[in-house]
Amino acid sequence: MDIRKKILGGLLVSMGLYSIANAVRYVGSLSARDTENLLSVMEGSQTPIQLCGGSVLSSRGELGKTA
Amino acid sequence: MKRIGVPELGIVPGFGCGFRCSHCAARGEPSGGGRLSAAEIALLKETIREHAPRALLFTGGEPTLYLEEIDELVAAHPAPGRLTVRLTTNGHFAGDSASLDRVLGAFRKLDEVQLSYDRFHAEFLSLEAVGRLYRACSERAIRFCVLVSLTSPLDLALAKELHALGDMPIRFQKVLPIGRAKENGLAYRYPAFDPEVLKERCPNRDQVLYLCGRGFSLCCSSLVFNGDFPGVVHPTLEEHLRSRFRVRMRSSRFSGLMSEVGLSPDSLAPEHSSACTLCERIFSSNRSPADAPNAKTS
Repeated sequence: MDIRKKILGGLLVSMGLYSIANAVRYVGSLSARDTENLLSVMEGSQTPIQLCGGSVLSSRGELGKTA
Repeated sequence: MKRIGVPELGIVPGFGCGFRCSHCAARGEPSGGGRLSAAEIALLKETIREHAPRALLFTGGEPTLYLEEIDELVAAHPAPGRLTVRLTTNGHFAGDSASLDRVLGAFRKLDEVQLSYDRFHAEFLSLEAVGRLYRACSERAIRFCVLVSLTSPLDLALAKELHALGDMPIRFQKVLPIGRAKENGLAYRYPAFDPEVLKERCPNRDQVLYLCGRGFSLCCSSLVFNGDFPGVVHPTLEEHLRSRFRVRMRSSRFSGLMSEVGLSPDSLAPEHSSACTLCERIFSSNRSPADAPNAKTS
C-alpha cells in the first residue's frame, strides 16, 4: 500500500469512520483518483471534521439527525 | 422520590416534512402529519417545568412546521435565561429572505441551528440557500453548523463545497438502515464486521428524546424508528429515567447485552459494525435486554 493510502487510512480511523482493519480494506478498494479526492477534502479542511453518533441526537448532546 | 436531572431534552414535535429524502430515519408524512396532541403538549410543558433541562433540542421530521408548539414548550421553561434552544432543520425556509426572516423570527429563543445537508437533501435545497441560512444565523448570533450524512467516506467531498460558502463547522453522521433509508437499502457501508463495536455502549445513553405520539426514550435510532420494541419507550420521563431499559443501556456494553440474549459474534454481519444496527439485532432476539430480569451488566 502506498504512503498516500496509508495517510488516508489513518485519517479515516482518527475520524471514527472505520476501524484500522476496515480502513485498510476500504482504502485498498479505492482508485488512485478517489484516494486523492478524499485526501484533498480531509487535508484541506479549515475546521475540524467531527463525527456524530446515533440518528436524531448525537452522543455529545449536540444536534444531529439523519432526516 | 429524588428527581433525576436531565441536561437536555430532545423533542420531535411531529413527523411532517416537505422533503422526501431517501435516507431519512423517519418515514415521514407530508406537512402537518403526525403532530403533538394537546395532552402531549400539556405533559411536555409539565415535564419541562419540573425538570428544567439546560437545553431543549427540536428535531423531526421538520420541526419548523410546528412553530406554535415549539413556542409553547419553550415558554414553559422556568429559567429561560439558563436555557439553550437548539434546532435541527432541513432549511426549507431558506429559499428566500422573507421566509427566512419569518421562521427565524418566530422563535422566542434560538441559540443553535444545525442544518441537515448532504447529497440527499441537495435534491430539495440549493447550496445558495445553505449560504443564505448560514449568513442569516451569523447576523443573528445564532450558532450554525451543517450535519452531513454519509453512506461512504466519498460523501465527504461535499465538505469542500460547503466550506466554499463560509467557515462553518461541519459534522458527519453515518446513514443508518432506519425508516425510509432501510426501505431504500441505504446505509453506511462497512467492508467487514468490526468487533470493536462490542466494547462500545449506546452512543446516546445520556440523552432523552420525546417522540411525538410515542413517548420518552434514550434511543433516537433503530429501536424507535424500526419497530415497536417492548420496554424501550415510556409514557412519562420519570418512568423512562427509572426504567430497566435505560439502566441497562447506560451500564452495559454491547458484548454484555449479547451475552444476555445468547447471541454469538460469529452470527454478525458487516452492517453490525454500527452500534445502532447491532443494538437492533440484539433487541430483535427472543429475549429483549429491556425485560431480562437478572442480567449482569458489563
